[in-house]
Amino acid sequence: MSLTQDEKVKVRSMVNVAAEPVPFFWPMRAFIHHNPLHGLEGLPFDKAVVKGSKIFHGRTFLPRATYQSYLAEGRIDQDKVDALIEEFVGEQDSPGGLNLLDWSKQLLYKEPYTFSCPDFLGSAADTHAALTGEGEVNAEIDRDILKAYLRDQLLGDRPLGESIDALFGSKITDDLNELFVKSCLHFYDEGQSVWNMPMREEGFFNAWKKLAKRNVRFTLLGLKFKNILEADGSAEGTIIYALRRLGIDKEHWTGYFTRELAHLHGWSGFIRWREQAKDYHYNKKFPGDLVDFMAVRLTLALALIEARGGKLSTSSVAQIEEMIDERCEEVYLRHEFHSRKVLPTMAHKVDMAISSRGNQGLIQKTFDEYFVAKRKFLADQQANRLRELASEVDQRQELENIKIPELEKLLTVISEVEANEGMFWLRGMEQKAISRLKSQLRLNGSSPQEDRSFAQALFCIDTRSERIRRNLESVGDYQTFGIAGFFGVPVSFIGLGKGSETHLAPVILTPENVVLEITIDALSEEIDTLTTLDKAMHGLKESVVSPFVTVEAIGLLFGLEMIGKTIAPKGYSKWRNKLGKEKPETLLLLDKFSEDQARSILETLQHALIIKGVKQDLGYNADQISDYAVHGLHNIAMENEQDAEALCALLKIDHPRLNDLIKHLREDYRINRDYAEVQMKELSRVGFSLDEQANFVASALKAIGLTEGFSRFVLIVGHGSFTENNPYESALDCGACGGNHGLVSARVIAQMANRSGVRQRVAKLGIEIPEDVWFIPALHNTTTDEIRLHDLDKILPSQLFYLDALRKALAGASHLTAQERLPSLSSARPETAIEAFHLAQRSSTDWSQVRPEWGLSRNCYFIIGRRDLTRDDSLDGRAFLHSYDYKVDTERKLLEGILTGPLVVGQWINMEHYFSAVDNEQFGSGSKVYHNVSGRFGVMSGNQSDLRTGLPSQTVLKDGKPFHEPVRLMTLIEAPVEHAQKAIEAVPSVKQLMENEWIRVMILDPETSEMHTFESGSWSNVPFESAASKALESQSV
Amino acid sequence: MDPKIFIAALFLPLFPLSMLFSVLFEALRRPYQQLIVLLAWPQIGLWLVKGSVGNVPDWVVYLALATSLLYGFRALVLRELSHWISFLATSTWTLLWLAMDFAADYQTLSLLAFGFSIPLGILALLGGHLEKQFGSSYAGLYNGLGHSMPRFSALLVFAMLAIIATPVFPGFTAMTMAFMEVANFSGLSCVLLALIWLMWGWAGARLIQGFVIGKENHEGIRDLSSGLAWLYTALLVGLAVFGINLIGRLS
Repeated sequence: MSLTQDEKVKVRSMVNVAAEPVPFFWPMRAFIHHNPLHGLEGLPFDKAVVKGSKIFHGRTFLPRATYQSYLAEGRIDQDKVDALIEEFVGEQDSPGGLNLLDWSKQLLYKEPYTFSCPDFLGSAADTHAALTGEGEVNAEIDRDILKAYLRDQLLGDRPLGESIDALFGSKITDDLNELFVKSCLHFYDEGQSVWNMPMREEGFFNAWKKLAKRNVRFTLLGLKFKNILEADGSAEGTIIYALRRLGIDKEHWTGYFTRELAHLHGWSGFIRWREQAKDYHYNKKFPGDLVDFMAVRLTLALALIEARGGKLSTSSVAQIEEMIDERCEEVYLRHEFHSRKVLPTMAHKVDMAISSRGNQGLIQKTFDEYFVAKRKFLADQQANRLRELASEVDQRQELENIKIPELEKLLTVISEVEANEGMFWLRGMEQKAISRLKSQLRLNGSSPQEDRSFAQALFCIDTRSERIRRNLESVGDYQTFGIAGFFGVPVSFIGLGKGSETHLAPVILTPENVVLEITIDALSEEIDTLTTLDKAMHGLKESVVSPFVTVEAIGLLFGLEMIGKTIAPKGYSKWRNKLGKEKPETLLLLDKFSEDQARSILETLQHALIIKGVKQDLGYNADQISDYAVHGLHNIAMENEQDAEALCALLKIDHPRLNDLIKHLREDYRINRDYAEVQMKELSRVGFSLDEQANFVASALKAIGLTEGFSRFVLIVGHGSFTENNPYESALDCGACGGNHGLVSARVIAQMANRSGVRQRVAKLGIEIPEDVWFIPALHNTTTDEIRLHDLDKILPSQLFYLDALRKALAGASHLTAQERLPSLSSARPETAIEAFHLAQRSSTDWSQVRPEWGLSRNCYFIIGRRDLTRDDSLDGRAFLHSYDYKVDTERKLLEGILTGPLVVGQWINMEHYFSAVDNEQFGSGSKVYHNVSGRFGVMSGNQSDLRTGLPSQTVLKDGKPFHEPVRLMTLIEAPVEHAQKAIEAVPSVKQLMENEWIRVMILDPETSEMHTFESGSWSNVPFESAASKALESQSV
Repeated sequence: MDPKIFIAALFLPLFPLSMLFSVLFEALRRPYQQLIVLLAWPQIGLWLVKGSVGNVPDWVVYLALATSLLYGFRALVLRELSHWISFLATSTWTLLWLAMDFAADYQTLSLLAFGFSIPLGILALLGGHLEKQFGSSYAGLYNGLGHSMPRFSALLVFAMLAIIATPVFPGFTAMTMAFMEVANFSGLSCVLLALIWLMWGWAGARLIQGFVIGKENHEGIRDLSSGLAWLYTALLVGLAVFGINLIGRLS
């Protein structure tokens, strides 16, 4: 079998289409919050959750009992839920004089469990018989209906292994997952394994197939791959071969792929992300895409099915179809038993019948008894619950007189109410959240400040900034602003001593410019002793044999560390940091190089490499190598003119030796023309032109409405989390910086804004920044709430006097914020703010702490507007606050920018939290306690599982109940309605999110004092009564 | 052969008479009936052979080991709790023949029998609670009870540990005693005994996995009342104390 190029492309596109519902999973080193149903955002929210629930087998709303408890606690607007139920029920005919509204309310508000029990054996006629006592349940079964039901359950796009498991309890899927996950772990490892899988450069499928034939475990399991792998050899061909052997109809291929991909959506999401991340180092080095994924999985599946299913005479779709046609009773009983739908009272009998090795007499007898018993059970169960419901709403008599068609209608309505109840509850919760927000907004808040405030601070829009901003404003004359934490400057950053780029921007942006971190201190080539010791110890731990002796030899050292980290984490951490080497003071290389500068830098680098090469090849010391020699070698390597004779004399070597040296320099040190061109291109990416810098600074300031009235200090506060033993640390960092700390972005924009050349250009753009204004980068540690100022060595001398006051205020705000946060984090009740701060510091260094902070949990609002709108009230750390003044944005470009980047990232964060809270096992990552870091890019539960995506239970749940209140992001824009609507129209992605209700959008028009809300496809508006005016009114009364 | 031994083979069930016990036990539907049978059955057997202590024929010992192994092995695949209890009861009680052969005194034998029977009885009562909640006690049909019935699950696990003869429970002492004695008797017996112990552990672990482990969330399920839970706990603690006491006798 050999495929044409067209056929291969077809398979590839089918796999890619099938993978669309699977969300990307980014490596956890830079955790990116994402919507688990991102692939379904093209659908309205209510439809997407139904589809998503089916694909990923996850719950998309909270259990009813949780909503009922929220209702009791006043966290749901009952009027809203009532209205929605009324609207829904109003569209239905009332069967048999029953009051459907009362029934529905009783069901939702009082009954803790769902009523509908979809089973194809259930029927209104049987329930009627059970209700009225007239007649018996139907003892006849239509075999065609039974067969159709079984085909629906077992065939179509359901993976064949799953169907066989559902019939024989064979656990093929579990074994397939185990073998497949191991294969993925071997291939995709990013440095955790000491022994690497060989041949990875050839790609996932190619490397795997070469090893599979020699894998002892596969042989022991009786898996035979020879025929499968030799059928075509390519990944695409193997997929087709496997599907044909399994007998899957072509029309089901795409659906089949989706089911297989969704089964391990962590792994498939990671591979899907990796596939499109063309610059990702490991992808370039070890390519492996979803077609490889599918080829490996289907090869394993086919081999397992043939090995296991063969013994059961069920290794293809055709055989299952034949079983259904010829022995549908047995298939039904098997399906009931192994899918755990069997009536418990008859489980043993059914077990005996299906284990009777094809005793059709016994099977038939058991089937006849079973399906009548099940019908009766379903009918009795439903009748009892109907009676209970009827009694609660005083309609018992009406129920007893009900006719079968009316009962059928009633059951249909109940089932539809339950199908829609998630949306009713959700809207009720959201209405409450909207009302709460409305009550806190002040449209004509604080009057404009006349005096210059002591300092201004730009914080990230992150919800954790809301608290510290409020507290900073409360401790003195401070003005704060919210802006996305990359401060509008997408940067690809190469840190000091690092060889790779880190993107500091929301993942939807790809930075073009590179910023280098350099130091004026000489970089020591020697690594300090402690680091060496640390590396050696980890090496010993990770090796295969050494742990056996390591425990005896140096176990005590680990023991001391363990005691230190456990008993006195804060003190130990301080001491340990003192032992480590301090990072030298650094500068950021922000300016673009001219052509000459770039060439000169390149030459300097090449010269340094030549010295290394000569040292290595000729054994000379650096001082024995003259500049002339280096220059000469450079000329020859770069194919410039050079007198080789003289160079030989200078280096005291003969021609052949010189030729060897040149070859070495060209090939190993890559000192050649081609590579120099590549390096020149790379160098052209370094830095920003002055105009670019000025534009970034001006845009950032305009975006937040800070165009005048600058304070002496303008703090640019990035944020980051500092925790121990926490693979999810990056999830607590800045999403706008691609899941990294925000300090570099703060330093970049501060360094730009402090340059006189930039300020001159910014002035031309309409923003005068006075000379005495200094932008200071700072880092907000969200775990402790400490704010630390950076790059103070460059500060203006005249401002040094004020620094102390600034530091004191920041410390005060930090302590107050820690005090505010701590009660929900621990059982400790600190009496003072400073005590709370110390406890937070301890959490930050405690390696056993599974919840060092709540992160973005409970996020709810995204507010785009002036600070004065929300300044006077606590938003409880639940709002993304983006400063915006529509008056300086006449062309709406700034607003469009906010909607395109920050809002979309906010929606990802919100949806990640939503789904992790409603179904933490399926959409979240379960408990951290069982997590193991895998391959250095993800975590698995236990020693082997799917890659856990989403957030751990410790981030969204407290005592097993949701701490995060799962609602969609309430987005409020403070701007004239037309201005805001046009901006939304101009950003198609946001327009789609709004229309499909993935976010709830409100516009507060300050010019008309009206609140416009988008709901169910249209805008509605109501006059807005500001909290301030309400307060005034009540005072006057 | 003493005819009493033949009759006792029904009460300290030896294959094939053991089948009768299984049939009888499976016919009992009420947990307290099962409890009574579990407590009384081996005592009747021991009373019958009271005079034969120390005088058990070798073939009986081998048959007892083979029966115990057979029933332990069969228990591996059983999922219905009362069947599992009846098989484990057979598998454990038959080992009393070994203890009898090595002349343990009647009182110790009787206590050992209770040591085996009490946790099985507790399990039967727990099974009754499951039947009330779910309609049957069938492992694997509804797992994840650890979440929805934590008290029940904890007791189930500890009762199971007592049944499969883990340390401090009397079963452990009995098995240790049997090993010490059998070691002098024959190597084959030692191997058989080790296999039996392994089967018990394996069968117990499978049952725990079928009930307790898992992510399933059950709506409307009630856990054991705390009073009942304390009562069972007290019984299990009593068993543990008795086990420790037996270790004293062993020395």
